[in-house]
Amino acid sequence: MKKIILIFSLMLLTFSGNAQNLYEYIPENTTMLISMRMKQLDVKSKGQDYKTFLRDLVEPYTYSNESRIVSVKSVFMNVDSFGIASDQEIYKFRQVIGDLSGYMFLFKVNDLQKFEKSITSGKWSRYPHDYDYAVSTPYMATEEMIADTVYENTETTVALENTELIEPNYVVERVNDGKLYIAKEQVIGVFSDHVFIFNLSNSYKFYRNLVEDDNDDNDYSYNSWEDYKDSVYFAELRAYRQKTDSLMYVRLNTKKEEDYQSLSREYADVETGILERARKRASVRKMEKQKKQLSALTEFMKNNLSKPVNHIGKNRNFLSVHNANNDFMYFSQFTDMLLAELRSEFSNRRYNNSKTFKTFPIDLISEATTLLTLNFNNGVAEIGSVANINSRFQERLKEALDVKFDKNLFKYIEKENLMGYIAYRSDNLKMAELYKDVYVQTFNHITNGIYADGTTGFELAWNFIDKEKLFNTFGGGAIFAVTGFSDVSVNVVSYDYDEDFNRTEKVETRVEKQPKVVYVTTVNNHKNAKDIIDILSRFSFVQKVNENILVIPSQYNFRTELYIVLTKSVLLITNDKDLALKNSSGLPSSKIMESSEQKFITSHMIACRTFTEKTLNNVRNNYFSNGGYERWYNPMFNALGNFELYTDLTATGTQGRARLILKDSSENSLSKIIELMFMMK
Amino acid sequence: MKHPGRLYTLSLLICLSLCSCFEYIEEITYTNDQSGKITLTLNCNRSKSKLDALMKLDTFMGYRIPNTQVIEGEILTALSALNNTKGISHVNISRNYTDYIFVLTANFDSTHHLNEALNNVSRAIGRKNDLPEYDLFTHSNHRFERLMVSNDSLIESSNIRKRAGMFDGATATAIYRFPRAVKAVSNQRAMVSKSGKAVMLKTDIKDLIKKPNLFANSITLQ
Repeated sequence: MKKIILIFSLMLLTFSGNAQNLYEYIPENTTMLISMRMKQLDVKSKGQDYKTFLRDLVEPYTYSNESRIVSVKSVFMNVDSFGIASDQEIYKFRQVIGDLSGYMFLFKVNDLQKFEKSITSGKWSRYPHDYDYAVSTPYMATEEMIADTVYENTETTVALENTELIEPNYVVERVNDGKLYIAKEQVIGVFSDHVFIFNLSNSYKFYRNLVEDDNDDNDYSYNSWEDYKDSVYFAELRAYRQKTDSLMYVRLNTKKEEDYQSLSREYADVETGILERARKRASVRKMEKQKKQLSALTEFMKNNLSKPVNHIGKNRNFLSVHNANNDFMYFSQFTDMLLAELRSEFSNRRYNNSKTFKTFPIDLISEATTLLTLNFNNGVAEIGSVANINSRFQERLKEALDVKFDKNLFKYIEKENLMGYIAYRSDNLKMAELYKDVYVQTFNHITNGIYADGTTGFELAWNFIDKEKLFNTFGGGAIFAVTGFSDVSVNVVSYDYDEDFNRTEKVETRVEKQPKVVYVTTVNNHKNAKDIIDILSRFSFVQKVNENILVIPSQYNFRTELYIVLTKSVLLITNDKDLALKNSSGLPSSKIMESSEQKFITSHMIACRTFTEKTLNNVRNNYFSNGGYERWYNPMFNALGNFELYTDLTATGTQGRARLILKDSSENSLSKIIELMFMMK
Repeated sequence: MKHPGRLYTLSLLICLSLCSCFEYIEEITYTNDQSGKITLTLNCNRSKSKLDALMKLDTFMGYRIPNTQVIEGEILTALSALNNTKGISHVNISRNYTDYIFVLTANFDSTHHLNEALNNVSRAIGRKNDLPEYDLFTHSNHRFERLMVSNDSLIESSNIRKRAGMFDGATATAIYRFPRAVKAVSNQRAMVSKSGKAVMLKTDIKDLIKKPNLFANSITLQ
């Protein structure tokens, strides 16, 4: 009985060991993380190649890609060939280990042998070696030489193209329960319960500290004349040239018929041999340097690669979204990411050597995290965002957004041809104060106060600004809307022909369609607003219709008249002549935007909606009245419903949602969107 | 197999089709039986608004929109090809990117040189690919011919055919002037001038795409 209990306990332990979450390998302090569920996406895309649109997200091209074992792009474009468990999550996250940093890809594989065989086959290292430093450098040096010696370079170039390349080169190292494949810019870890690919994006400091610089480039190529002059190559070349110059002189002077060009080529062949020897020397040195680098990297990885004590699963913000089975998830510790990025801008020696180091707190934006999710459901594709901020920032933001949306603004938005709008509300003055404080704090923090006097000067200048006039003349709420199309007159050049078909140029006026746009915002201080309008009216390109209405005539690329209208409560900027001149106090209530839209706007901090059907019809009728729209119009018209986006304040930050709604609620949005994208491609 | 050069030209045609309304004018004026002057005009001014908007984009509906630098590069290539053609002189390409009007003028010593110049431009812009070469014009024995573009030409491309509707409003005009009077014209749409020494043929691009022979003409001179 005891034996049975023991075996059962062992089985349970083994089971719980395997059942651990993959995210436990992700450190809690990672600044950025993306997760995706490929199997889920495979099913939703109905076999269409959605991965085409993910290539650059997975692995942007950099020069360091060339010294990697595998291209991560090729791995994820061929998950089956690598035996990757696509039914599990695949993570990409920012990893920092000592002086090494980069992006780590973490996933599970169904078949470890298959995976290992795939990476060692070499066929997935897809980067062309044409860009290899070893090739490009001597070629450039050769051109320098050619300019110097007037030799033709044909033979030399051919010799260089046949250069034997040493990249990619990697070592395999056994560790506790797995194996590491280590190349100069990539480490692949293969373990029983997980696999990772670590693409190093910043390894300069690591290699600079661990491997001495042996100046291997200072032979046939060079960074300075001094280096070049000291090289073995230069010594050989100089000795050879002295010899050949003498020989050539003798031959040219004793045999007058000798052709100088062919004689030069004869000697150039031998000179190419000198270059070839120099190239081989550099190649050997490069190999030796690479061995040193790989050995140092191997030792470092063996000692420093371990499962993190504090993993990302301990972050409740991450975990709450992670467990929701999203197709894609993006998580960033916003403050850390921002500061890491900004610090790198100020991390050169000049800043580091400064003696005025001081610690400046960043109490406003600390602890900020951002979460984005993307889900392709039946009938709707949805992006969700959750931003968590600290209570100090939250309090200030709440104050800045504690504004009631001015319902007067709705009077200027005509419902009949409304194609889309975006509306927001905020107290501009409080928002500006908040941004100013964030800017000053962040700047002082990342520069360790080196420019503290500068930011204090900025605060002094800020104090003198008439902020009331600058930020509070207009504001509170605003709507920008596209309300259909209007006719505008434009001049076009065409030709007339006389009876002998000699042509003369003529200018005729014709009517064109232009989108009608309306921007309307609340006037908080009418006196200040009037002052601004009066100043604007004095510009030479502005015409005054009356005391409160200005018009900027069409000119240059702007082919429409723009009206600026000031009323007691709103500022209106529009190219809709009727609205500006006949309805400056607002449209009749029967014509203004639907009450459901008004409610949508007033209930969110930022609200945006586009009416796809109306937009497509308007574009077709106004721009493609003679046909030519069939290819894109019908598929889009049949598939797409409205698009909407909104953002709200929550107790801990903000949350938003963007939804693309499809007409057919039974069809998955991913397959439909991919189908449309391929159609438009 | 599609030639890259052909694809490039195709994308330019598609860009033109997106701007829908343009005017192409081909003028050849013979000063004697051999030499003369060619003027090619592309006037997209009617589509200025759309072109202004399109030129701000990299791609539209999946097609790459060439920017001013790219277009300028191609114009310089064409200019260089023309200048390097024997028998061609006084080459000029005026470009107006505000009104989108482009005019090419050049003098030619003979019709043979003119054909060679046009083929050289086609080859240069077509990225040295094996584009079909034509003698677009013939002029001998008091007969001038403007040939139709053969069946494998760009304009016959099925893609362009499908988009014929987008060329609505675009026109192509050919004007040929001679030192001698015109005796007869083969194309029934062609008009002879009052002086009897010039021929004009105007057609819609939309029709031309469907029937390339609409632009073909054989002119007999006295």
